[in-house]
Amino acid sequence: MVKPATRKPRRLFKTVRPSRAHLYLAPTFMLLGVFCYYPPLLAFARSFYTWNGANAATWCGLDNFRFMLNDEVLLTSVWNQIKIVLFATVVGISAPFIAAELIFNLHSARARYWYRVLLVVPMVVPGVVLILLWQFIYDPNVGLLNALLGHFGIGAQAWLHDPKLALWAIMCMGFPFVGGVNVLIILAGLNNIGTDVFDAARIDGVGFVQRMVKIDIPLVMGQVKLLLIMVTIGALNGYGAQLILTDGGPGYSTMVPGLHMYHQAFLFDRLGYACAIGLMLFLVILVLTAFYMGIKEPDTQ
Amino acid sequence: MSEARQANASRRRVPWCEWAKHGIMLGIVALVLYPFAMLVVLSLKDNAQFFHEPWLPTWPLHPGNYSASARLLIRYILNSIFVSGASCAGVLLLSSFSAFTFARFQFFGRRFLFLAIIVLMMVPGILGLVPTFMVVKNLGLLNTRWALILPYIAGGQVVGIFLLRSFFSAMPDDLFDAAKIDGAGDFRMYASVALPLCKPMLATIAIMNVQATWNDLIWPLVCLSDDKLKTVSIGLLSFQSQVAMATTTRWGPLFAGYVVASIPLLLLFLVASRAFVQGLTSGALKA
Amino acid sequence: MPTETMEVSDENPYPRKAIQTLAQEWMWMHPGVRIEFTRVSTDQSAYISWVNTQAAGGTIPEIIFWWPGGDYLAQRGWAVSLDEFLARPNPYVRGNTAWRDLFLAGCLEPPHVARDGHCYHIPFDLFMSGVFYNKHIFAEAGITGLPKDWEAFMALQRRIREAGYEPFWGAAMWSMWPHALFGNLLYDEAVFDKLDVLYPNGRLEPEEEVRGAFLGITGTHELRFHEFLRLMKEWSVYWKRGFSLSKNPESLNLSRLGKLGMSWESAGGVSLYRNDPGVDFDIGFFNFCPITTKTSPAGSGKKPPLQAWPGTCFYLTRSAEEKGLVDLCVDWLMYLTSPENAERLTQEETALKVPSAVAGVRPDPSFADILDYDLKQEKRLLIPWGLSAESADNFTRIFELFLLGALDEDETLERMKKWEKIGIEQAIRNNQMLANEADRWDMSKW
Repeated sequence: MVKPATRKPRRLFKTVRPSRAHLYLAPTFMLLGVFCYYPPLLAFARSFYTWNGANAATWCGLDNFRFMLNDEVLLTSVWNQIKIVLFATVVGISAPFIAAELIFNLHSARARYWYRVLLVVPMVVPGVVLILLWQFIYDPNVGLLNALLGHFGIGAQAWLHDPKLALWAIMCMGFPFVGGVNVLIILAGLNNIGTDVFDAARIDGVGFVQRMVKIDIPLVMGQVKLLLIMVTIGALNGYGAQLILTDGGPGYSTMVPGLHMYHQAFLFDRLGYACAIGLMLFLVILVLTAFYMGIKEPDTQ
Repeated sequence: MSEARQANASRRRVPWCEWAKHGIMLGIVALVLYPFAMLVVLSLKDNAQFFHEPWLPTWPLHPGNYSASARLLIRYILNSIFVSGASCAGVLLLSSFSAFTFARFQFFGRRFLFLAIIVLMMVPGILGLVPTFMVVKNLGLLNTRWALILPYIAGGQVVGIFLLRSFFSAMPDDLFDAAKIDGAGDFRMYASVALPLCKPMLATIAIMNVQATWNDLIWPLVCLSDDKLKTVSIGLLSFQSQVAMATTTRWGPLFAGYVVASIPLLLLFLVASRAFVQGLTSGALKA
Repeated sequence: MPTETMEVSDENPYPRKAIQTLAQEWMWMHPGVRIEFTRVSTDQSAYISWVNTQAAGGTIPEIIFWWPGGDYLAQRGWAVSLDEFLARPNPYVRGNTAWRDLFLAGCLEPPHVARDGHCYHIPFDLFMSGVFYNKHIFAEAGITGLPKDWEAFMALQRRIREAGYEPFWGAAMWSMWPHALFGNLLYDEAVFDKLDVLYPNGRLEPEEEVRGAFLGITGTHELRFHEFLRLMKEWSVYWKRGFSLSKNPESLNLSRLGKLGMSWESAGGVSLYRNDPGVDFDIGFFNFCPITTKTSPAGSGKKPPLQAWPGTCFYLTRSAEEKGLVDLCVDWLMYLTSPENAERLTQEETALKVPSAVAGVRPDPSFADILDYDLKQEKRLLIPWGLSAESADNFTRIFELFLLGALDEDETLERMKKWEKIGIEQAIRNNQMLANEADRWDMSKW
């Protein structure tokens, strides 16, 4: 990983006319302007309009936000989203942490490398394949899960089409939650802990569990915070599984705000309202990120 | 990594503990990879075998499933290669050049402009989905590959600039001084001094981008309706409805198709696994 | 639509070769005239926008596909009325005095013609749906006769379940088909008469439906709506495990695996069954049974009409008129609609076989039991189901929760009523925002 510059480099071209550098940056900023700066501003502006995308938008003040407060679908979806985010953060951090600890404490460097590589493999498979694979696992008639549970005498379930199970089924799609990048990030954090810390712990006769609680967890808090942010944003942004598998159903059981926004914009032509939902999600992410950033990191003694 | 520490620590440990850790890890890896192994096993069956013995491999194998599926998916895969390739090239070019400019030039508003780019890392994609769609629609780009490529480049360069700028800033000035004495202009300095040194970094950024664009689902779904232009992500959905719904689900070809769709990135992974692992970890910086 | 290669392949499992052959023959008879086929998107919204841009640019083909009726084209002046030509004899059919007589009764009459009373469309085939059943499963469950009433229908499904199969499903359940079917089984003539007043043509225009809901003539308060909920819940017990009413893809087609007793599909399904190597059972085809007052106080007792109406229709466009090609185009369409050629078109081996809209064409024998239908449609009255896309979507979601036992009937109705109100508002607002002023409703007449 690139380390941030430790010393301020001397600038070479202090005398160069500004226009040249600006010219060099023009293509970047042209693209950013059209596709990165303008859209969020447009979203902000349009969230105060009734807009079906085709006709001119009409100003409606705070109507969209007022509607939002009475939107039962949105309220249900927010509740679902909270469950998803809580589940994802708890499981999406603890499981990788356990795996990372296991790998970190292996003494064969080669084994450590290979476990890391193997855990990355799921990232190579297109997300849609993963979703479709889980669709097969959950299939009520020929699915793997029902076949497996059948051996234990548990009756077949319609995992994705039962209002009581569907949200859980969606949340558990990453099982066992250690595939991909999270393990690598925590592992990087563990590797950054200085040898002296562990040596000191050993001299003091600190046991494995105690070491994990007293040293490892506090010292990888930076990574944990990063994961918290990543997992939260990922959960808020990610409604692909619902889009493909359940369309938010049965009923509203797996509806999330992102999918609700998608429906409003692309099925029901209520783009102004969709922008308002997007804006709200943005604010939520902003607040959560700020909150996570504010979590105190303990000093390294 | 501190190998010495590791070696030290392990000497004191009882071997069964080491074996237990291996055991648990192998179990976890097996759980992670089992569905994919299943995918391959099932992709080689015909329907009779599928219903009779879904768990274990059966003979004869049916590699023909693959040719049928590959024929249906090849167009989507080529589309994805084109879109991801073009976006990746654009990102590398723009981000390296802009990062070079930020790191090596002193100009008016430099800090502000850089900050303006970094701020974008905080804006989640979900806010931009609807308005960016309208922008693309008004530009008349809907149902063209540009609808994907241009926003991918625009968004992808942000992290690239962030990573490369600090890389270029950290490069010793002597390198550039020497080149300047040789009479090198800005472009030559960029192309022959800066670029060659940041190759590993570029590889990381490239992998990060390809992985992200290759897997993107919602944006292509919104922008492309023409089957001829579809990328793998959404092409797979058409493929699935074709193979799974039009007639009796032909499970073998269906799963073979899933495997085929995974092959390009798998190849990339095998060729550049180190850059891949790095790329995925640095993807975390997006947060 | 014909495709480029016309070979049977995975990409194009049901190529339509016959129309190309017929075009060759016709061109041979008409030296100097060439028929060109244009390849268009099969995506419905993409196709509509293609027609819009082509019509605006004046480059629209002389003959295009559109849905029956053609009000959309007629209102914009894009289609040519065929009334005059339909009264002429078709020279390709000996003894024919009026082209119109070749088609099945009803295909060219209200409610299928445009609102202005003119006929713009030439139908080729029938869109028709019904229940496919697996004869082997029926035999195994000891079922001998087809159901004559709702109770028998339920009992039959119970026996299928007891025999170890899933009794009923069909992709149709995702659509508005059930609402159309039950709109007939639980028909209310008085309600219909109160609705069909703005354009009294025996069918309900969207405007009339919205007006009816707006004035409270139709809606969730109707007895037939309550009975619809009740009967569907009773029925849903026999739907396949893990059914879903949203449009998500099924990962498995149970009916063609021989695990589903009955499946509600369109007539094109026959070819799918025939061509499927995995299908090793015989299929039959039947229509739903009536619902009498014994079953439900709202039961109409009417024999449900075959869910059938003109399918693929062709229209002559303004281009044909501007280029003076109307007569030639009509001649080509007349050639296609002689019974022999219509049979070649709709019953060709490689394509999906569907019943023809031309009389005298022998359809697939599976349809034999029920093809004594009359296309002269009875007046249709859908079960009201939200009036905007969003409202309908929420109706379906609430309904799904009701069927799955997550909501009781009172909660269901209460939530639906809320969406009913929103749906009416949205339908009116969407209409009043339409760019084309002619499309906007004149609510002062309501």
